[in-house]
Amino acid sequence: MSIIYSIKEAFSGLGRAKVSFFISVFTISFLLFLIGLFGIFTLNVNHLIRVLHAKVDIQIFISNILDDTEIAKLGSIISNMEQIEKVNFISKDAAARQFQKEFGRELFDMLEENPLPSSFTIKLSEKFQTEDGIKTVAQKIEALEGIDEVQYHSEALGLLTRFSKIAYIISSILLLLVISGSLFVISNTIRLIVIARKDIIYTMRLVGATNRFISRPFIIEGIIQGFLGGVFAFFCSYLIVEIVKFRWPGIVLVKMDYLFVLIAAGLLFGYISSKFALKRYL
Amino acid sequence: MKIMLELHNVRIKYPTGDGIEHVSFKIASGEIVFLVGPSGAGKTTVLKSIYMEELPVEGQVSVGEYNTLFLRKKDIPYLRRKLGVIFQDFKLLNDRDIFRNVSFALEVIGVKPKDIKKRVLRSLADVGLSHKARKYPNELSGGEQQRVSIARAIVNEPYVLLADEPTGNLDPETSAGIMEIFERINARGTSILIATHNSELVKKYRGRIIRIEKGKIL
Repeated sequence: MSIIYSIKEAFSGLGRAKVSFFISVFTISFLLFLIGLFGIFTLNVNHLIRVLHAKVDIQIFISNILDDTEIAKLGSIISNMEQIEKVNFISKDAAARQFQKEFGRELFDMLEENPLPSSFTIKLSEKFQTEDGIKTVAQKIEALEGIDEVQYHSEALGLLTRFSKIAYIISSILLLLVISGSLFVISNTIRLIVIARKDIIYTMRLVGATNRFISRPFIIEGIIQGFLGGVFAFFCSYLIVEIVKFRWPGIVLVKMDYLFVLIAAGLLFGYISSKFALKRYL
Repeated sequence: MKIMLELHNVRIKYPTGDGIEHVSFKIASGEIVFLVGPSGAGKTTVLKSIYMEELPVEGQVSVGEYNTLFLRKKDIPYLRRKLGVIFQDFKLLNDRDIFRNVSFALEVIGVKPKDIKKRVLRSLADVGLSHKARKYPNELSGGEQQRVSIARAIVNEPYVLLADEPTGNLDPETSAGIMEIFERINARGTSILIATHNSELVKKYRGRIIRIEKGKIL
């Protein structure tokens, strides 16, 4: 079986169905372009959420009854926890200095001693920078002896996590719709080509062509459509990203290499949907 | 003589109730056989059972080493490569020229390009159409189109040539030309089974006659 023959047949098949071919390529590229835009949106949102999660610190206030040795021991217990990346100690004096800097000296003039507690500010390692991760660590630390209070911005964190979940669900649904749409369009175009060429298929069968031989040109046609759709979608998405980068620098936060996935997706969609279209006829 | 194909007690039924029943006959190497009967008698069904487009619900069909009792679906293309089929409506591909209509039968089975050219030109010469190799089917007369379909059927050097009403749409003079081509092909040893409703045509040419009516061999 000659692959050159199948390729020639595929091109002449596409030539015979120019209109449906162009409509199909246009539709696929539009759908893949949408995938590209959703992808960019989702990646940016996820990136933003990761950055914001990383900025959430936990503040641990230490009881005033602990002496320096006990505080150091507590610091060592906390910094040895696997979830913790960095621990900063803020002494009573440092807290007072910070307070005076922000609110003035009035409070300290009225009081005989510094009422502010010593504290630790901790940063979690990336793996635990989630709402659950932060809550777990906070509870674990709260249970330690000598800790007065553990503080973190739980509301903001919850909002962020909910937003990230909603963004993920919406993107997944849209992605699924767009993928099904692409598969439907390619498989429909191939089906129309197959119906238009049922005579040639019948004659092929009569002269002893195998199903594999008959289907190969149609699969190549599907792949060509998917590939061209992917290439157009790639260039359109790339253009949009470049325009956004130029007009609003800083909005696009992630690398654009992944746009090449659109071409691969086009090829894959072309292959799968033409196989699917042929299944009913061969 | 070597038996090229055999139908033994074959029964095929369509949902409409038509079909064939208890059909049995053999065709030996180098024979010409006319399957004669009125329209709707079951001639095309008999041919379809031979190229295994329709499989019998009873009985068996054997062509060379292929037998419907042991046939797997994937064997059918390989069986068809041993047969040449000719139709009343020619079934030519209008999007390609005559050369490619014939070469198509070889490309399908993976013959090398240089052999394809040689064999196609020889087949076209056999039917007297070498000079029209670059014409398209719609530029040819009915008789010429039928000759192209014969060239396509013989280019694979089949065991048996099956012709379904090959002169059905042609005038007597053109029909005679087609029958002469069949005789020449047969003279080289190819068995031919011609299904026709034209009893007059059968009288003019040598060959065994099998009559069929209402799906049964008479």
